Order: sequence, then structure tokens, then C-alpha cells
Amino acid sequence: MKKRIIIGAVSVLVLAAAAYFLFFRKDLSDKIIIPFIAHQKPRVDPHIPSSIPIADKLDEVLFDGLFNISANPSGITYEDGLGEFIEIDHNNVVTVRLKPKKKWHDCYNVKTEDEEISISEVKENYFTAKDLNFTLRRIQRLGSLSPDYILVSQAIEHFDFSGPDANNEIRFKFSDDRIWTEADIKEVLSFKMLPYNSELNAPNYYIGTGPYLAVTPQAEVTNYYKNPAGNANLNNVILQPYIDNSTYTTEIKNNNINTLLSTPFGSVSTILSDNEDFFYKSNISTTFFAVVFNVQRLSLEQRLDLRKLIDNKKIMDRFYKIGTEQQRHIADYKGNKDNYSDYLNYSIFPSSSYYVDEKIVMPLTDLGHPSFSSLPDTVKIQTCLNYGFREELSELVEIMNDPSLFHGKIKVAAVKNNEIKKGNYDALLIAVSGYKSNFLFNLYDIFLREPDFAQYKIHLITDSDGKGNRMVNNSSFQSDKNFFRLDLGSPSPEQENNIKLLEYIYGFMATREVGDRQAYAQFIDELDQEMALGGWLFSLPSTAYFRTQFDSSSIDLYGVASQLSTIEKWRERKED
Amino acid sequence: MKLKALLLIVTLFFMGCASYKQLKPEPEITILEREYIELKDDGDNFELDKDKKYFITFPPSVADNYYLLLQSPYLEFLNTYLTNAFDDGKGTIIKIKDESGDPGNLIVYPIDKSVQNFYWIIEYVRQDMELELNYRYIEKWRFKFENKYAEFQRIFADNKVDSSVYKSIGVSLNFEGFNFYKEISAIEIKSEKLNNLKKELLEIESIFPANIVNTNDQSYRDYVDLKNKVDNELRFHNDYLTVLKVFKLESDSRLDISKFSRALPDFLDFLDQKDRFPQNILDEAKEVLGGRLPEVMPFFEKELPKKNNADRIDFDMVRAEALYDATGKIMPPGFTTLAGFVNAYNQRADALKSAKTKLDELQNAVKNYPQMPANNYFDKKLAELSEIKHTLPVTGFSSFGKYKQYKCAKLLDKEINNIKYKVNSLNSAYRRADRLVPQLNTYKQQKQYRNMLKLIRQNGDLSFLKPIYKGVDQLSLDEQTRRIKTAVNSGAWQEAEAKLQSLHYDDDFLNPSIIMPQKRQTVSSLENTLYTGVDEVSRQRAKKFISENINNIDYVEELYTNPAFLPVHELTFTSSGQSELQRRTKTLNDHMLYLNEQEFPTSAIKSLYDEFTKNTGDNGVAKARAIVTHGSHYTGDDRKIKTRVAECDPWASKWITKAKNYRKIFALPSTSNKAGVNEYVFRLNIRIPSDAKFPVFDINIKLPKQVAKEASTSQWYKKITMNKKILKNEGRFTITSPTSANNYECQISPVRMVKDKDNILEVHFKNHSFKVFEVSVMAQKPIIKKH
Repeated sequence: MKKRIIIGAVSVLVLAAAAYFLFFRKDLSDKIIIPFIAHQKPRVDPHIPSSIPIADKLDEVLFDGLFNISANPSGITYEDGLGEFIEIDHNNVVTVRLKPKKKWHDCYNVKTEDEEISISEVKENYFTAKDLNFTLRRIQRLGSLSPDYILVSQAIEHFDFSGPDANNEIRFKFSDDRIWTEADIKEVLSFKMLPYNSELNAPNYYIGTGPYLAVTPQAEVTNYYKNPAGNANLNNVILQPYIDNSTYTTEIKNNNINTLLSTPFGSVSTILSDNEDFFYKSNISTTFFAVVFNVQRLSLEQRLDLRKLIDNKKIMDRFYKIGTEQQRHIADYKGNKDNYSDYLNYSIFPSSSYYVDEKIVMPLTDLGHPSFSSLPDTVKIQTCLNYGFREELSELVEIMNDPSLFHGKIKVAAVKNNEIKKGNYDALLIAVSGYKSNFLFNLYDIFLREPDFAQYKIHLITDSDGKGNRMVNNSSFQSDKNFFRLDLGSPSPEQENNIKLLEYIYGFMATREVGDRQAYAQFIDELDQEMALGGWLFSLPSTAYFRTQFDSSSIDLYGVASQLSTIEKWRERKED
Repeated sequence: MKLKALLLIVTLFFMGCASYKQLKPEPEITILEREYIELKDDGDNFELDKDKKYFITFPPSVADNYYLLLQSPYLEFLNTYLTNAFDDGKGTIIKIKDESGDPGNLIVYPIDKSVQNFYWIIEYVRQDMELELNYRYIEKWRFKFENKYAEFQRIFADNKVDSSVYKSIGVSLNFEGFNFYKEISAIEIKSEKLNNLKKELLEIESIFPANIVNTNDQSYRDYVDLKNKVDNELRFHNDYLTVLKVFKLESDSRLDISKFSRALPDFLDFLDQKDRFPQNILDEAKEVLGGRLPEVMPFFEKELPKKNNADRIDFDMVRAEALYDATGKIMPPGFTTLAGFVNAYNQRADALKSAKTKLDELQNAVKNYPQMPANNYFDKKLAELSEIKHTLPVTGFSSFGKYKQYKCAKLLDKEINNIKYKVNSLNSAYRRADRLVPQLNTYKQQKQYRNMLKLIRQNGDLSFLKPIYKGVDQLSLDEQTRRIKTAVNSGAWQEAEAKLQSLHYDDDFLNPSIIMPQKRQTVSSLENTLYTGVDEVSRQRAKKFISENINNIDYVEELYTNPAFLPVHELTFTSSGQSELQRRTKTLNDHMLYLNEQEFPTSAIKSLYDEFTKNTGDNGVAKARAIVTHGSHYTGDDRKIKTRVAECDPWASKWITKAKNYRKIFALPSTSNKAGVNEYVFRLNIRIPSDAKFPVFDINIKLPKQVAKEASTSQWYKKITMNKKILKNEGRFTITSPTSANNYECQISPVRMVKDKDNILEVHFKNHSFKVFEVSVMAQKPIIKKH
């Protein structure tokens, strides 16, 4: 009897489970669901970097260039976007045929009813050379604020082209100082296209020609649906809002999201270790943590000692709980495991960056012992936990507040965003995300970002030298316009170095010459070693998790390429 | 008729225009030998105009040796000459010489009967004149004799010698105090003049016409008379001079017995001419010469004991005895014995001298015999020696009394005995030589010169053999040289070296001081020949091997240990000692090593590389590997060779030294699965000069379709490293994928180079093939990329 009862109970449970699986399990098919911090709305501008990592990645979702960067197992590839490469002649004139039937997203009307999306074409609005001309003018106007400016300016001096001709072919005169390979040409022409009737400085740009179109283009944040004219494999790209990133791993575990582009702490998640359900891919770091010093409140001597005091290795060991049962394990794209020291930074330029990796910049790793006498009784460090990396920053606050670590000299406080603007801190704990480890490492993001985590604004003022060249204006350094409280508006004993610093930063960002960049990188690093502008803690490993809903071989995340650059190729795994 | 008249006029015209006008005497010229005849123009003299030219034809003489005499008081107003051919002054004119000597009024032209005419040419007339001219044809002898007859008579008269002195010799004249010199000189002068006269007369006689002899022609009779007188006077001069000279000789030999002895033949000869000289002179000579003979014996009695050599006694004792007879003088007692001794002594001395001379000649003949003797050579020489032996004089002067004790007699005996001994010794030596020569000739025929030399040296006491066989040294050296060279040429290195060593130690030579330096030089030269031969043949063998295996791609490593790369012979000897042997051995080995380590790999690499690059699909991997194997043995420093090896060696770095230049390289498998998947690798060493402190480049690699065609579905490469550091797409590098769209070009960017140092980019990939892929690589400064 008991036996029957037991069998019956088990059967009921099995049936219940089956019913649950059939009727209540979350169906993420045909969707790419990516989490984001709800109050950090991704501002999509294909020409300006964003502090919100997902924002730049969405450029690849929404927009096309004349050529689009993509990838395959062998590396980067370039595919035709709005253009078709015809030839480059011996005079370095590049001929590109503009594809005539590429429609802007505003040709379509998207309706959502009961989570069902329907798309209808409401007008014909094709990409033309006019759009290209507008886009080039915008990039030119943005100057060094836009990486595309550097990209284009090194090949096409005047940002112009001739045509189109009857065959819809346009011609760019590329510079004569190199052999332009097809890959280089396509790289130069991979800037994302905006329609000519766009605003020059809109908060968001949602009209593109890319593989996905915005479901609600007018909204601050929108989801995306497959462009009917595109060839994406999956129909939906959904941005799923969360308060912070602390629950991301749980959410993917629970099948609420299926794509986690970065894990908390960048570490390998133990709860996502089941290979049946998840796979992960690592690539190079794009985020680092730093303690930037308030030059208004800390003297040079104090900054030097504070830098010595902040031992990034100690912090990192704690951060990853190295040597404990709770150790957070990491894995890099090279296959290295738990190589924490590779992530320690000793310069504004992270160790993973070209400048340090290739020893252009050789920062000091042994700074010596601090003199506590010069330091304030308590070094007040502030941070803001609400704009990304909450988990990580919280952990850092806790670590740095540990008296055993820094002799109680440091007091880190999490404050509201508004407090940051006031500058009532000796130093500021920040996360710099989306940095590139290639030549285009973004110093504006560090030195000229206005101290407002709620928005991303670079305070760069340039003047014309009267010869068509731009030069940086000293008013770019205003104490309330950067984290360091650098200011050239009033006399300062460090004014000379501050001017140099600003010039070096602008020089670094505005030049299109690799050699100049290397030189400026050295100058900046040397100046930083002299001025002690911050403690450069460590970079965060970059680990992305995907549910095995996806065919892992369809997802290629390469290097500094946007993680979503191949999103239209993602496909769902076919059951064996 | 008219034509004839015209011809006549023309002829006359031309005649009138001739340069020379002929004068035709009337009566015509007669050639008979007469007195002078006037030359007339029909009884008148010819009239000559000033500055005109004329000629007169004279017939030839009736016989040869005639003169044409032309006599005129006006010759001084004319320029004339005689010739035997004349054509109005044209052509070459041979002028006959005027023999007159004094051209005042007479011209003397020699003529003969050989020509048709003689032409007397009046080349120039100084003034208008009448030609008053006589001519005469006359025989030359007559013209000459008649012209000089008076002079001849005067010469004869002037040079006659007074015979009164001659006739008074021995009568009223003895020669005590006579001035022989003066008298002899005076007679000799006159004799000379008469002899000259006689010579002239004989010259005239030589042109006598044949029919003149025994005629009554007065000139001829005068000639004969004068000639006889001259002959008689000259004969007297001769007799008188002979007499004077004999007496002068006697006079001059007084106090000089040797001179007297030398004059004995003249004295005897004089006394013997009884018919030539008158008795008074002969008597006087006997008296004077006979009076000298008593000086002879005392002289020898005094001088002979002093004679301290075996030379001939310089006195003609035989003629002294004859002079006794000729002068009728009585020999003193003992003179006969003395004369016998002197004669015997001189006979023996003469025989000794003759034998000595013959023996010397014989020895010299043997010594200087220009060739190696035939078997019977010494047999003949023994016969010659025997003849000399029989001519040797006897010794001992016992029959000559006291003279046998004289030192000169003893010395002569001694010399005679010495030569006898010498002849006997030589006889013995020649007999031995006679036995040796056939053996030597046998050796010679067999070219066993060294054995010849040994035999000659064993008989070293036969010193005359050395000069005869002096050439054998050279023959021996030459023969040994030839044999060594033959051995070298036939590649019998060991034999050649043994013979060379034997030659080096060979001291069987007759004239070592002469041949040894040459031998040393020869040995040295042959050593060089042997060394060169071993070297060349070794090299040729190695080169042949190289040539045969230049394109061999199988078992290349084994080729390098082939014995062809060893010398054909290991040298064990040099005349210059061990260190030189070591040096030569080392040089030889170095040459072989050069062939092994440089020429073979160089040639093979060049050839194989050419073949390889012509078609890499034709066994390219094997060829490349062969090139690499050759390269591993190459020790040269030719960059081109090293570069070719490097091009074929997947593990060698290919240098990229220029920006913006595509460089073709070969990607080769590093594994050897001919039917399956192989791993390929290629390495680049990027060393592009750059002013940058941190040079950075894009590396663009154009890949073959076969390698890159699957790149979009699977990573085409297995591994890419830069200075052993792995480059991965997930990092900060951009590695673009090769696609059909970009013509399968992969770009790696940015790749930073360590300035001025090696920057090794290494690419590994796998492919289901076993072949050579061609890859093009280009580096240039990068652009700043967004991604």
C-alpha cells in the first residue's frame, strides 16, 4: 500500500513538473534579452562613446556603416553595409557603390499588441549620399570627441567624397602615405550612418538601417525588432531593466535573461557553471576601477603619499577573496585562470592597454611607503553606487574601509550623485567602463567627463587657431567639470603642469598619428607620476555568459569589437 | 707624189729639230792603226757654233785593247765625252772614262770591237770655232809602252846594284865591321822598285796581241830587251841579299849558341847551294861558319850538368855534326859521344812528349766523349792505349858515359817510367770499364738509371766514367720524375708518394753538388704536383658527385657523409717535414670541406631553389626540405644562399625590411603526413627601419585560397605569435579574417616592433595537404582603428 502511495506521489510530482515545464517555464526563444541598470538608460549615439557599456554596443544593433565590422572564427571581417567596395585605383581613389535599396528604420511602423509585434512599411526612405554627407559633417564637427573622427581623418583629409554617379558610385580620395588594403578601407568607412535629417546633437539616435529597429523609437529606452530588410536570425533584442547588477547571474540562471555581457566582478560564476545551460566567452577588459584625487583638496605631497598608501594588490586580493573558499575565479581569453595580477594597473593606461602592454608606458610598480604625516587624518573618498558596478563598488568600499588595510586612514563613503558634483571629497572611487585597449584609449572619459554619473558629458572646449586647426581651451579644466577638480580658471601652484596635462590629453585624443599618440601617452604617464592624480587600482575581467539556447559558434566576441557586432548572426541552438 | 713630198718635209722638219747635230767627216774615219789623222769636213775643219751640240760617230777598233786618241789644241773650249750608245741625248748614257791623265790636248778613250759605233759627243761649245782635231786608233800596249819606255829605262838604270862588293867577298872583303843593315836595306829598296817595274812590264805583256811575239816590231823588241835586263838584275839582288843575310845571321849569333843552333839549317842550306854562289863566297862562308863550331862542345860541357828538367835539349846537334862535315872542320874528341847523348836524349824526350800528348788526347777524348759509350768503346781505347805504349821510349843512358849520370837524364827516365805506369794503370782501368759498359748499357736500355749510378759509384775509382756518365744524374732524376708523374697522372697516389719519397732520399748521383739542388726543386715541384693531383682529383671527384647529386632530394643528409668528400689519398709525406705535411693535409681537407660545406650546398641550393621556385607544386616540400638540409651544412656567408635556405625553412625567419612592399614567402609543412593534415608554419622577422621609438606596423598576409577558404567557419590559423607572445583576436589586436571578398588577406594590427631588434611573427596553420603555399606579406604603419 505504502508502495503504491509512494509511486503515486512520485508520479504526481513528475506530472506537476512536466506541467510546469510545459505551461509556466519562461520562453526566451527568438529573443536576445540583455540586462541593464534601469536608471542608467543607454544613450545611443553611434559617434560618441558612452559611459554605459550597453549603449555603445547597441550601435551595432541599430546602425550600419558603409561597411560593417563583423567576425568569424578567424577574426574580424568586414561586410557590406550601405556600400559595396568596388576598387581602389593607383591614385588611392576608393570607389564605393552605395546600395540603393537600403531603407531607414523610419520606413516601418511597429505595433505591439499582447507582446506580439507587427511591422508595416509606411513610407520609402532610402539611404542616399546625402545621409553620408551629413554623417561625415557630424563626425568632423565632433572632432576628437568621436573616435570616428580619428578613424576617418587619417584617410580622408577633408571628409568629403565625389558622386554619386549614375551607377550610384561615390569616390573618396584616400591619403597617399600607405597601401590601403581592403580591410583598412572598410575599417575607415565603418562609421555608422545617420539619416541626414537627424539632429546634430540629439540625446538618442534610434533611426538607423541596422539589423534591428527600435520598437519604440521615441522612448528613452527601447527594445528592438528584426529589421524586415535585414537578415538577423532572431527577431527580438530586449533590454531588461534591473536596479543594479547584483542579481544578473541569478537572472540568467533563472532564465529571465539569456545574455549577460559582463558578470559582476568579471569573474566566472559558480552558479552558472553548468555547461548544459550556459557557456561563457572572455575577452579583453573594458572596465577599470580607479581612485582619482581631488587636486583642490590634496596637495601634491599628499597625493603622492595617498597613491603609495592605496595598495591595489591588497585591494584586489580582497576583492576576489583570493585564497579563501569564496574566491572569485577569473578566466581570460588566452585561457589563463586566476591570473589576477595581470589586471593590476599602475597607470592611467591600464595594463591591458596597448600603451602598457607594449611598454610605450612603463609605470612604476613599486611606489614605496607612504608618509602618513603628510596625509589628512582621514582621506575622504566618495563613490556613487547607483550608476553601474554597484556590486563591485560596494565591495571596494567595504574593502577600503577596512582599517586593517589602510590603517584607518581612508574612509570611503557611498554618496548620491549630486554630492559628487560638489567636490567634497579628497578622492573619488570610480569605474571607467567601455575603455578600449587599442590606440583609441579614451582619456576624455577620465579627465574631462563632468562629475555627474547620471549623464555622460565631456567638457571639452576647443578653439580654432585661425588656420583651420583646433586647439584646446584652458577652460576645459574647470573644477566642477571633472572628477579631479582640475581647474585652469584660477591661479594654482600646479598650473603649469595642469596646462601641460590638458594639452597632452588633447594632443593624445586629437592626433591621428600613432607616433604622436605614443609620445603623448608617455608624457601623460610621466606627468601623472609627477602629479599623482590617482590610484589606478585594477581592471575588471570581461566575461560574458550566454544561455545554451544560443549556438555558441554563432557568437563571436572579438577583442575590442563590440560584443554585439555580430548579433544578426546569432542563432539558436538546434536540438540534436 | 704629194704624200711623199709631205713625208719628206715632215722628216726634214724633225731632223732640223734634233738636239745634237752629227758631224760626218769627209774622208771617213779609218780604223787602221796609224799615226794621227786629221778629221776634216771635206778638207775643211768642221765649224762649231757656240752652245750647239754635236756628235761624231767613230767605228769600233779591229780588235780589243785599243785606244782612240783625240788630239786638239781647243779641247778646253769643249765639253765632250765618248759613249758606245747614243740616241740624241735620250736615255741613260754611259760615259767612257778618259785615261789620258792630262786632258790638255789629248783625250784617250779605251775602245774595243764589241759595239757597232762609238759616239764622241760635243755637249757644249764655248765659242764659235773651227774644230781642229786629229784622231788615232792605237793598241793599248803600244800606247802605254811607247809613252813610258824612257821612264822604264831610267828606273832600271837607277836601281842597278854595284856587283863589285859581291865579287870581292872572300877575296878582298871579309865582313868584319860590315854594315849589313845598310847594304841589305839599300838592295831591298832597289829590288822593290825593279819588281814594280817588272810588274808594269808584265801588265803590258799581258795585253800583247798574239801575233806580236817574235816579230820585229821595234816597240816589241825594246820591250823584250828591257825585260831581260830587269830579270837579271833582280836575280843578282836576290843572291847578294842571301849572302849578306847568312853572314849577318852568323854575326848576330855570336855569344848565343841557341841562336847559332837555330841558324844551322840556314847555314847548311847556304853551303849546299854550290851552283848558285861563287866559290869565293862559299869558301868565306865555310871559314866563318866552321870557325864557330868549336864553341859547341864547351858550351854543353858547361850547361848540361846544370839542366834540371826532362825537357828537350834546345840544340840541333845533328845539324852541328853536318856543319862540321859541310865546312870540313874536324870534330873534337868526345863530340861524337856528346852528340849521341843529346840526340838520344832529344829523341826520347820527343817520344815522351808525343806519348804524353797522345795519352792526354786519349784521356780527353774519353773524358769529353759526348755520349754514353757503346759496348766496344773501351776496347778501342785499349787499342789506342796499346799504340801509345809501344811508342814509349826506353830508359837508361848507360852507353853515353858520364852523361847517364846527368840529372836531366835521370829526370827524363823518371818521366818515361811515370808515363809507363800511367799507361799501365789506364790500361787496367779501361779493361774494367770495358766490362762495365755493357752492363751499364743494359741498365740504360732498361732506363734503370739509378742502378747505373750505383754501379758507377761502386766503381768510383774509374774517375773517367764520371764525366762520361755525368748525364745519368739528370736521366735518373728525369726518369724518376717521369715515373712519379705517370703514377700521379694515373691516380696511383700511394705509388706516386712512395716513389717521391724514394727520390727524396735518393743520393745515388755522380755529381750531387750539381744535381741535388735540382732534385730538391724537383721533389718540391713533384710534391706540389702530387698534392695538386690529389687535390684536383679529389675535387673533381667531389664535384662530379656534386654535379650528380645537385638535384637529389632524397637522403640529402647522407650525401654529406659520402666518401666523395674525402681526399682520394691521405698524404703521408712531404720533404719539408711534419708541420708542412700537416699544413698540406689541412689545406686539402679544407678544400674538401669547402666543397662539402660551401660548394655542394651552394650549387644544390641554387639549383634546387630554381627548380623549387619554377613550380612549387612539383615536389616542392621535398625540394624545400632538401634545400634546408643543404643549408644546415652550408658554412659560407653568402647572404643570397642563406636567404634561399631561409625561404625554404619554415622555422627560419623571413626578413621584412621595407614597408609597403608585399614580399612573397613560402609556407611549408612542419609535419610530414603526406596523405593527411599537416601543420604549416612561417616566420617573419620584421625589421623595418623607422624613426619611431616604438615602431608599430600592420602586418598584411595574403593567403592562398586553399588555406583561407574555410576561415569564415573555422579559424584558419592554429597560432599566431609575436616574439613568442600569442596574439589573439580577443585581445587588443585586430586580426582580420581572410575572405574571398578581401582576396584572402589577413591583417594583424597593431603589431609593435622592438626597435632595431628581431621581431619574430610566427604563424601556424593546419591544412589537409602536403605542399608549398605561397604567402605574400606586407607591413606598413597602421591606421588607428576603432575596433
